[in-house]
Amino acid sequence: MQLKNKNKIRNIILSIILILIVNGILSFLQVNKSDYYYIISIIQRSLVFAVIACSMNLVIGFTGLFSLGQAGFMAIGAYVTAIFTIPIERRPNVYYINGINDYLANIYIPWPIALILGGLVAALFAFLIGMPVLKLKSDYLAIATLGFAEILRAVIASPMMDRITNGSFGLKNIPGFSNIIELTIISAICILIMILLVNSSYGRDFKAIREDEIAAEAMGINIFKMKQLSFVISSFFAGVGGGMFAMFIRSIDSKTFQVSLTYDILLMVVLGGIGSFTGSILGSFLVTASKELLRFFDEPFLLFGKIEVSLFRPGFRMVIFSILLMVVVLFFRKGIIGGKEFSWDKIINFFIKPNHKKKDEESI
Amino acid sequence: MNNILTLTNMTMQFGGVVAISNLSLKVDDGEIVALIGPNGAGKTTAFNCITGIYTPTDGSIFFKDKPLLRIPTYEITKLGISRTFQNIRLFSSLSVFDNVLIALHLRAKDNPLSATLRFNYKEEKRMREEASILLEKQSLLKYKNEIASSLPYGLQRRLEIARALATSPTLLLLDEPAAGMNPQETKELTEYIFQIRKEYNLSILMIEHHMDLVMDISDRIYVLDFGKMIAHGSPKEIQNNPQVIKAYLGEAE
Amino acid sequence: MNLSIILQHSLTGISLGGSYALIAIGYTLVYGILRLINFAHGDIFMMAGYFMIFSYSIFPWYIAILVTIVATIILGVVIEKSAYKPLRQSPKMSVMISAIGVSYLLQNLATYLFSALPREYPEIPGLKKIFHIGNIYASLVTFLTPVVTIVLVIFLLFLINKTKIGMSMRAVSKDYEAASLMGIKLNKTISFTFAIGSFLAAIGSILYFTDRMTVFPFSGSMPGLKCFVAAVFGGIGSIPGAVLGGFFLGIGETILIACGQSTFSDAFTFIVLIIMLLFKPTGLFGEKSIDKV
Repeated sequence: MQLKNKNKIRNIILSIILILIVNGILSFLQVNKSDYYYIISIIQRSLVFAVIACSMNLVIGFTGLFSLGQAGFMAIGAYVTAIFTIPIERRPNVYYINGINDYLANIYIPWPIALILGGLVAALFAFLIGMPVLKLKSDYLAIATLGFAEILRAVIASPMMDRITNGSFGLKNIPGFSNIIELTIISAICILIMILLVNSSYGRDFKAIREDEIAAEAMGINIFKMKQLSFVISSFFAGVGGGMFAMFIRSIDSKTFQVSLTYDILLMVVLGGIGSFTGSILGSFLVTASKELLRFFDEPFLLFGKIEVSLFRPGFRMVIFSILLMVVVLFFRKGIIGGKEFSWDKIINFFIKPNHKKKDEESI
Repeated sequence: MNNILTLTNMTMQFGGVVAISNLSLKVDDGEIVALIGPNGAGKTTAFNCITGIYTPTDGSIFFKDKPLLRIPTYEITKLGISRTFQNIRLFSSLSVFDNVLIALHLRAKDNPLSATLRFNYKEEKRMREEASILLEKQSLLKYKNEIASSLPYGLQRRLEIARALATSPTLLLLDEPAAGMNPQETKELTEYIFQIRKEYNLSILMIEHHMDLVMDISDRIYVLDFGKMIAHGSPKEIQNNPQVIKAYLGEAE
Repeated sequence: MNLSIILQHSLTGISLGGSYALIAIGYTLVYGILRLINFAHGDIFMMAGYFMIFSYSIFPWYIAILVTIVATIILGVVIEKSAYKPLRQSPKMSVMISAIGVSYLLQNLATYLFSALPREYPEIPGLKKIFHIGNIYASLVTFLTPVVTIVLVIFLLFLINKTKIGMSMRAVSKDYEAASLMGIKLNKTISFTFAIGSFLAAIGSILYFTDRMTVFPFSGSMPGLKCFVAAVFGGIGSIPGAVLGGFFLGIGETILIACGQSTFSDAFTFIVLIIMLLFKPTGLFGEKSIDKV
C-alpha cells in the first residue's frame, strides 16, 4: 500500500514536470511566434484534431458503435461558433451578398460559450439521429451518420440557408485563438473529461456493450440509453472540436466538412489504436505533422535538378495515407501503441527494468 | 412458501418452428429447480423468454406478482432475475474486477455527470469494496486484474456466476453450470451452489446435463422434450419415470 | 404542370432509378453474404467510369464496354481478396474500416491518377440520340436503362434460384458456417458474389455516366450512399427489394428536382432511410433475423 502511495506521488510529480516542460515549450513558441509560425500551426491543428479523434474513439473504440458522422457534427459546431463569434461590425462584410438573418445580426457570444453551444447543438442532432438508429444493428448507424453528414453539407450550402450560413460562400473573419496555450488548455480539458468518463462507472458500461451486448443487457445495462449517451457525448465533443477547428482555420464553407474529413479522423484513430485515447492523440499529431511534412510529395520532384520524377504530383500524399490506413487495418490491427494507455508506471518500468518482459513470461 | 417464478402455458414459436409449447413451471422461494431434457428441447429458449430476450408467442410469466412479458431484459435484471449463459459470455477483454464492477453498477446511485467528475467517489469506493468481497468469496480475488478471457475455463464459469450475483438477484438462472467439468469439479460446484443459495437467499432455476449434479441438488425437476414438458417431480420420481427414460435413452426395441 | 411534363420527368426518374437499382443489387448481395456494407462499391462504380474513358480512347465502343466490364470485375474481386478476405475472422468493425479504407484509397488514387477535375465521359454512338414518343423527348439511354435493368435482374434471379453457384450463394447468406461445413466453397462463392456486384456496377456506370457526361473522383460516393439506402429500403439481402428501392429513390429524387427542390433531392434519400428505420427496419422485403443467444 505504501509503495502504491509512493508511486502515486511520484506520478503526480512527473506529471507536473511534464506539464511545466510543455508549458515552457509552448510559451517559447508563443513568444517567438513569427519564427515558428509553421510549427505552431501544426501543433494547433493537431490539438484540435486530438479532441475530435478522441471523440470518435469514444464511440468506435470504447462503445463499439461505428459512427461516421464526425465531419457533420464538426460542421454544426463550426457553423454555430462562427455565426455567433464573427464580430458584429464585420458581419456585413461576410454576408455581403445576401445579408444576415435579422435575429442573428446583433447576437454576439464570447467564444468559450459559443464552443459549448456548438457542442450542444451537435449533441442535439446526435440525439435525434440516435433515436431510431441506435435501436438497430450497428451497421445502420454507419450509413445513417454518413448520410447525415453529407445531407447536412447540402443543406448548409443551400440558398435557403443563405442568410444564416452564407450558403456556398462560407463564413470568413472568424476570430482565432489569441495564443497556443489557450487552445492547449481547452483541448486538454475536453480530452480529460472524455478520459474521466471512460474510466467511470458509465465508461465501464460502454465497454461492456462493446464486449457483448447480450451479456451487458443481462447485467442490467440499458443498452439503448448507454449507446445514446456515448453517441451524444461523442458528438458534443466533435461539435466543440469543430468550433475549435473553425477558430483555427478562420474561414469555413460546406466543402471543409466532406466525408474525406471523417476518413482523415478515422485514420488518426485507427493508426493510433482503436480503444486508446493516448493512441488517438498520438495519431492526430502524427497524421497532421506528416501531412504537412510530406507536402513535397505533391510537388514535382526533380532528380538531380533535371529529370522530373512523375510519381510526385498532387494527390500522391493522400494515396500514401490511404495505403497507410489499409496497412494498419490489415496488419497492425491494434495501431501503433497496441491499444494501451499512457501511464508513468509503464514508462518507468520500461526503462528501469529492461527485463520486465521476461518476468511477465515467467509469471504466466 | 411463496412463488418466485411462475410460467403458465408459455409457447414460443419461431416462424413455423415451435420451440416450446405450453410450458407451465414454477419456482418457489428458496428452491433449486432443474430443467433437463435432450439437446434442442427448448431449455435455453425458456431462459431467454424469462429474461426477456425473446417474447413468448403465448402464455404468461410472473416474477413474484409482476408479469414479465414485454419487459426489457435490463429491467428484468433490475427486478431480481440474473443469469449465466450456456457458452460463457463474459466481457472477455476486460479485467475480472471490471466484469463484476459492471454488474454492480445496476444498483449504484450515480449519474453520468457525477461519475465523470468523480462526485460519486463514495459510491465508487463502495462498489469496489463490494466487488472485492464478492471475488474473495468465490476465491477469485487473486485474479482480480487478469483479463477475463485468460482465466481457465472453470474459473470463467465461476466468474460468470459471481458477475450474476453482483446484480443482487433473488432468482438465479444457471445455464449448464457444470458443462465441461470433471466429476471432482462438479462435486465442488454442487457445494458451491448450496453455499450461494444460503448466503444470498437465492432461488435457483438451472439447466443441466450432469445427472449426478441434478439429482444431488434439485428440489424438483422439470423434463422437457421437443419443447413439451413430459414430466416433473422430485429427483426420485423423475429417475423412475418411464417417459423420461424413453426420451433420454430411446425406446427399447 | 401538364401531363407530358409529368411523364417526361417520370421517364427520367425511372431511368435514374434503373442505374441505382443495378448498384443497389451489388450492396444487397454483398451484405447478404458477408454482412458487410461494402463502402467501396460506389467507388468501384466510379472507377468503372474511368475505365470506360480510357478503354474508349483505345478501342471501338463495343470492345471498350467489354474491357470496362472485365476491368471492373477484376477490381471488385481483387478488393475482396486483398482487403476483406484476410479479415474474415476479425471483428466486424475491422472489416468495415477496411471497406472505408478501400473507398478512401480508390478516391485518392483516382484524384492522383486522373486529377480532381471532371473528365468527359465518351458518347457511345446512338445512346444519346433523341427519340420522342408523342410529346415526350428523351435520349435512347433513358429508354434503354430500365429495359437493361429489368433484363439483368431477371437473369440474376434465374442465376440465383436455378443454378448451382446461385444455390451456394443462398446457402452462404443463410448460414455462413453451416454452408462451409456442407462443402460449399466459401471463397469461390464470395468472389463470385463480388464479381456479379461489380459487373452490375459496370453496366450501371455506363448507363449513369452516359447520362451525366462527366466523371470525377468523388462521383461514386453520393450514388453509392443512395444505393445502399435503396437496398435498405427494399430490405437488405433481397434483390427485388433493391430494384424497387432503386426505382423509388430515382423517381423520388427526380420529382423533387422537377419541383425546384434540388437541394433536398439528396436529403430525400436520408429522410427515406430514417423513416424506414423508424417504422420497418427490415425494409420492404427483408426477413426478420433472430440473433441466437
